[in-house]
Amino acid sequence: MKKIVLLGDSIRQIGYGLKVPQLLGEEYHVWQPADNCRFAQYTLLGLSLWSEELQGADCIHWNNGLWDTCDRFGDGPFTSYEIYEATMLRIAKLLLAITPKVIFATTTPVTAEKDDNNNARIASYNDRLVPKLKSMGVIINDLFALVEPNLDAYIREDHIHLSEEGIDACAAQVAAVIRKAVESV
Amino acid sequence: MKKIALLGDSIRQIGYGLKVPQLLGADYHVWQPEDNCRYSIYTLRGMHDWRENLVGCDVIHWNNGLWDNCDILGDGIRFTPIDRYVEVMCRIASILKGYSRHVIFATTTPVLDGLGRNDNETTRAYNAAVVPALEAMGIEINDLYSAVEANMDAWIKKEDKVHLTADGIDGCAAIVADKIRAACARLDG
Repeated sequence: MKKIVLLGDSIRQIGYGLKVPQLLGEEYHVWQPADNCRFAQYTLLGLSLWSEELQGADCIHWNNGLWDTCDRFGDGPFTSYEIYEATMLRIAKLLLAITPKVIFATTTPVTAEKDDNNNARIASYNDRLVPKLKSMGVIINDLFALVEPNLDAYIREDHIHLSEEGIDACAAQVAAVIRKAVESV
Repeated sequence: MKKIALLGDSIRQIGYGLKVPQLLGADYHVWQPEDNCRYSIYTLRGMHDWRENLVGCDVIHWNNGLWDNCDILGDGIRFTPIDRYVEVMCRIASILKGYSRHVIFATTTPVLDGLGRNDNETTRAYNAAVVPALEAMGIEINDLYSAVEANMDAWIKKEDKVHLTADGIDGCAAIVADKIRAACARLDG
């Protein structure tokens, strides 16, 4: 039995996280917080609150970014890129101390109608963070690239969350990346 | 009727926030979130959800720091490193100034020795870093650290080494209410 942990915002909580356990099947025990992991520093604190559940994980799959990149106050992204990067690298380091098989899923795109976020900013955060995480040994699951060509089908009317079709597609990719990571030596 | 908002962690939520509304009396409408405002960036995010309650305030009184300066992850880094704490606190201050006629920051209160995750040397460093930055923005400082430090044994719970006792709640609530009342009087003057 492999122990898998899923961490992430609502793209996981009411998205791919709903389907990944059944896709992985009986040989995988999947734990994920009932809570939305929201923004990077919220997840960072969660690593302390959920330390018991994280211990002994064979693979941890995680995403954070939509809360960080959104502009809630009209004064720029909720989390500046510099703070986002520092917090995400700190999370990665703590997760890598639990298991060498840590997977980061890139932040998914929104539709053009989303007024407090945009894909240029999301892509910029992804593009700057991914090489840093890779250099630490984190595996990248590029959900942005999966969703972006299929925005109309994969994103709901709220312009941000995954549709049923989007959940199916992302869950299939998340499960495949986890399976490959766990089976690799 | 003066419109007041209180933001802050459990030093407010289960501390001075319990008594300030009654001390201010019927001429003041006091709003405060039921939620613990936890750490600075959590408060920042909360300000989006609480915007309706914050806009148009005469005075907003706020504290954050005990969660930020704690060593909770065991990786040798404070939960919110000091430079980021100051950056986020100044951003909070800037937004609150747009919501309210006057903003007061209460310095982070001390803990009893032996708490482990928090220590007063770090709290003093965080206060020393943030206070001048906020003062430069026109934020009034309510030095609860000094008030509590002078009464540690009576004002901090021995059981948890961090939260206010009944005496501490009375003492801090009186100081907070006085600061708010004085600020309102100045605004009227």
